Amino acid sequence: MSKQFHDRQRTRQFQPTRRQIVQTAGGLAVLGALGGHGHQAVAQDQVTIDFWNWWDVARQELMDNIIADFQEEFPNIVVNNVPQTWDRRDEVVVTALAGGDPPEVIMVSRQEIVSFAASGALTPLTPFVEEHGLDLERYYESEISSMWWEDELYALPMPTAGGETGLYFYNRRLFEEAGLDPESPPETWEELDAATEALTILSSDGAIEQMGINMSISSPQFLANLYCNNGSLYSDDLRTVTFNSDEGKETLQWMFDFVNRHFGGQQNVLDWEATITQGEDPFHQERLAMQYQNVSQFFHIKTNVPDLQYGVHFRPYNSNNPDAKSQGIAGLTFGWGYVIPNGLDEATQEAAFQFIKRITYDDAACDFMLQQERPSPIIECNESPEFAELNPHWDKVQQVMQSDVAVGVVPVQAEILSVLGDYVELVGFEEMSPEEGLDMAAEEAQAVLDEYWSSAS
Amino acid sequence: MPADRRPAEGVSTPSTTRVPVTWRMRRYLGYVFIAPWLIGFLAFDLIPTLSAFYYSFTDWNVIAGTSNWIGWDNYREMFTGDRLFWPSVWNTIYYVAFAVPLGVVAGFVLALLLNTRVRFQGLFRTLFYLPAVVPTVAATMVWLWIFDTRRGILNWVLTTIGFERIRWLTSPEWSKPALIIMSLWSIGGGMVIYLAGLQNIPQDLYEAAEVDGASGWNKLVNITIPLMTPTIFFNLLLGLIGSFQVFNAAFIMTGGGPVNSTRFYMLHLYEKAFQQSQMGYASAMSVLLFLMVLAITIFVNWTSKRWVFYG
Repeated sequence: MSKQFHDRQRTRQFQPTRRQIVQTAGGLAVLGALGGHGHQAVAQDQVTIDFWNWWDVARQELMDNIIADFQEEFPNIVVNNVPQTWDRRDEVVVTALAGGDPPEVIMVSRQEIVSFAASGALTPLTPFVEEHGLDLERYYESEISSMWWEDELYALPMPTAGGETGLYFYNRRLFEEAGLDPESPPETWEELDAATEALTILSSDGAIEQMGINMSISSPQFLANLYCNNGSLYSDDLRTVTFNSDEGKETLQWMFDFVNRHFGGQQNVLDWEATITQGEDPFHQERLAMQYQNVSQFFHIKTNVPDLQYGVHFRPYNSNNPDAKSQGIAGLTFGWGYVIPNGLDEATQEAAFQFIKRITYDDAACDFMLQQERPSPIIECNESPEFAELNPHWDKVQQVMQSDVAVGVVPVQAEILSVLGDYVELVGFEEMSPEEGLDMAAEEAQAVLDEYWSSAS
Repeated sequence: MPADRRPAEGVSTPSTTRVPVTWRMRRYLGYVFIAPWLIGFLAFDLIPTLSAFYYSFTDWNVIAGTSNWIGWDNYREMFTGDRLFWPSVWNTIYYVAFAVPLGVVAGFVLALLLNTRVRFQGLFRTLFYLPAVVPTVAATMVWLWIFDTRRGILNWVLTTIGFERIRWLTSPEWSKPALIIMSLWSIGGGMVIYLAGLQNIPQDLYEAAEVDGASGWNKLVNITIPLMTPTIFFNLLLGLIGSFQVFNAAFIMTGGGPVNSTRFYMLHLYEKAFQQSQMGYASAMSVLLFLMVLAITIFVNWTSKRWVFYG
């Protein structure tokens, strides 16, 4: 697969001579002189798709190659690759949709899919999937399930939403230096506690010099740990917030004690995080011994610090809870889907779907992920031996993808997570106890949820 | 008509019965010239402002394109239901109360210093003005480094002279003062206006004062400051209006934290509008901000009769 990719790349590095340019220009002029009739016939069949995405920098070229191949196969579809900047992303996407002239295909987050779908801004993909005979079971359940809203599919996934929280990376050299066995990384909260004790180095004035693991008292960390203590964000029917369950309170209390015991409190963690200049990674710099990080880290390590000796293991769970196990969550913040806004004509919708299918379902979807050495939402892509050859930790990646669970998403998710984040932060700053913080957050979040469901009904 | 009353050959006179078309069109020519501004004003200022007033009484969902009239609900929610509304108001007032006077005074003092005859005057003026044209994102990156608790230059200076480190951006107590200090970064813009004002003060006033034996302080208090009050008034108004809309620094540097201590009004409004899709509520917030700024501008304008001297 990768050889084909490089061959295609070589083919595309074609540099025309001046003569060829003049000949082409002449030919175009003759075609133009032949009159408007022929031109109109071409224009009628031709569909142009603006594709907004955030595959910038190194990935832009990979995407350009996929588009070039697509256009070879579908010469009547012109795809304009329009990578966007991250600056004020929310504003840009909302304005584009509200303005009435959005791009034909947009890459949006899992939360946005549900929020936009509930507002009626997206075209359901279910009829296209049926018409094209797509087998949705090719995707991991945790990946495809958050693309639905009220029995309609609104997006297809790429890359994974899973593989975000289920793994941690650890530095083998630092393990050995601290007298820990790199072949037996921590699996439970207790083991993590002991390893962090051995791996954390504080300066004489209490500042963090080397951090055992990047644990902070924040809502993303809380939710990731909550699911490793058999807790959940919502009830199955998405009508009730459940993060203030006994498991939730136990999880936040454990995090609070952990951060205070090992790092001297949340403010110390924030100070340490502030020393990370944009673009730096403390794990790469060997200032962080264990790192909760998503699967994109494989690519970054290979690109930036290829000699780093590291291992990968599953997020530790609470072994004191017999129902708890290590599991990652999919759909909370990481991962993207591709949507078609409402209001396009049939031909454009069809062309847009063809393109979405290409980047999320066909071989190109596997290829794009393989080039980045990160897993695909498509199960069979990840079973390719090429992945295992490129990444020695691939078996763990596959396991975590299988065990990930999809977090429920509601259209008012942003508001609910904002409420939770506020109270968890207050707990971190010791303004209130974990129990008090979660109860207050749950009360407020439940009010938001109740209001949404009552208005939706 | 007598010969001496006849117009000279080739000179046209307006008809008493019918105005020529070209002459009539000339009356509207002015509107043509201001049309670009007028269209821009209508499309981007007046109509959106009036629309915001309307939408502030609705539950406008900008994505769905639906809006239902809900009366005063958004305003009621703002004052009684939104847990973060009052903190955002308080944070903004705190910021305005310190950043605006500090900016006015610092800009004025800097302009006074750069108005003296020193070598490389032009170079100094340029250097002090440069930060005002540096993009905010770039400036905030620099300030993140300056404020860094462990490696920042500000804490290095403090610890060198025997003070404790300050958690500038990671403690709720210091985050607002940090952003106020950072606001001084852009005083170069105000400084240039002050410099222009200083150069308009007639030199003969200073010469007359010197003849009367006035000291430097006396000249500053009795000539410079009174004659600069229109410029100070102008900068004060600009500072007030700009500071009430403080956004970028908090958005990029702190995200409103820690513990919402830098959640300014505009940041809260932005989150409601674009992250939580509550555009009707955000419209109500924008209307209230408009009214607050308007009221303060009117108040400052009213006080100006007592302290601004137009000469």
